[in-house]
Amino acid sequence: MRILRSAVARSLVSLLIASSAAAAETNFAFKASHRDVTADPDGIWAGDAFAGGKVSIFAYELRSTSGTLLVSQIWNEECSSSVCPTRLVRIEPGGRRSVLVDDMMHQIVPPNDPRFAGRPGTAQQVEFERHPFRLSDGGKKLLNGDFSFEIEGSGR
Amino acid sequence: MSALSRIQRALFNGGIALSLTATLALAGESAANLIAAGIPANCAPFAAKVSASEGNFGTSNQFGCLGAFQFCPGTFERYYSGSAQSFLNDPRAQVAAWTKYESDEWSKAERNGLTSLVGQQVCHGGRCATIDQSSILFACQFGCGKGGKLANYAASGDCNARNVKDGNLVSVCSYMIKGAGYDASCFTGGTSTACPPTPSGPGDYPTSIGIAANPPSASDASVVVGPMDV
Repeated sequence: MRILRSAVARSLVSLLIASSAAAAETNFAFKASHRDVTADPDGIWAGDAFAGGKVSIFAYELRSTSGTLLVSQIWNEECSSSVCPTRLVRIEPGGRRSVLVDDMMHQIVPPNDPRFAGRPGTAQQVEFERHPFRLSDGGKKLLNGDFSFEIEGSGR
Repeated sequence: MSALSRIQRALFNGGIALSLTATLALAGESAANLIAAGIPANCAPFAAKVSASEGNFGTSNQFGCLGAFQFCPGTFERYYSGSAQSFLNDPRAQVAAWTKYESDEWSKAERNGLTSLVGQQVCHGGRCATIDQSSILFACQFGCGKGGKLANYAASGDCNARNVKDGNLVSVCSYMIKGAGYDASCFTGGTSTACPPTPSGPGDYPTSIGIAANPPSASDASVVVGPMDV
């Protein structure tokens, strides 16, 4: 039974990722930012993630008919000068969630941050600012700038 | 000049230009520039080492990270209150922010038990080093939190585990080795653990360095300790 459940879960992940990857847009779109919060409205982060007090959370998503892939980055005590804890989570239409990637990733540039406004940027900088996360390799990898992460259960 | 030699010359010049560009892009700030911006001289070599893999005072990288120590947006907003451009224009502000950041990272490493790695040997990629304070701070670029790469290494001692590597599959161990041997006492609040003299027996302390190499005469000394006073 357990093996069957695992196989079904794997198939669902593959289906979701395949349909996402097949879509025209493989970039994740900015969804929301939550500034100075003590709890995550999306429910991705909890417990120790808030140990240092208020945090900021940035969410990016990729929707398909078989569910949603959500990337959530938290700016908390765990961050270094360049990376912060980030999760890729699959949310099935029924609401069931599973974490596919959990790692330290490049800090995003907050959309419409006035402190970064008006600065000339290279094409590469502008692209990263708009799309810090994207799927590649037929949905088997999550890319974040020059970082690459294998997606759990993507069939590889 | 033949067509072939013109092509060779163009390729040669292009190569020089490319090398120079790469050097300039990766050079980082010199110890002298960092001292001028406020880094204490004893910690300037460590600061220059970090800057060498980060950037220059006026540069920002492809991920929007700023300055000689590449403060990325989240860190930048935590340690500086002005605009990105004013930060890039102000080396002293960058050094002040980085000094505070490094001190905070050291405190974090202490809280999370990561400083217990100091004194241990780490080997990776054919190179070995004794972990010291500067190793820890250099490796904190991978995160010094409970879930960071250094914490994962402290738990497993395995330099090749996936969870001690970043998104480019670079191991935190290579950073500990690269960062070893520098004086980072300005950020750790303690004495430097870089290359400490190793006594070979009780009371056997090297006399070829420090004040022991040039002791004051008894007439110049403010305190004179005789053999029977110890």
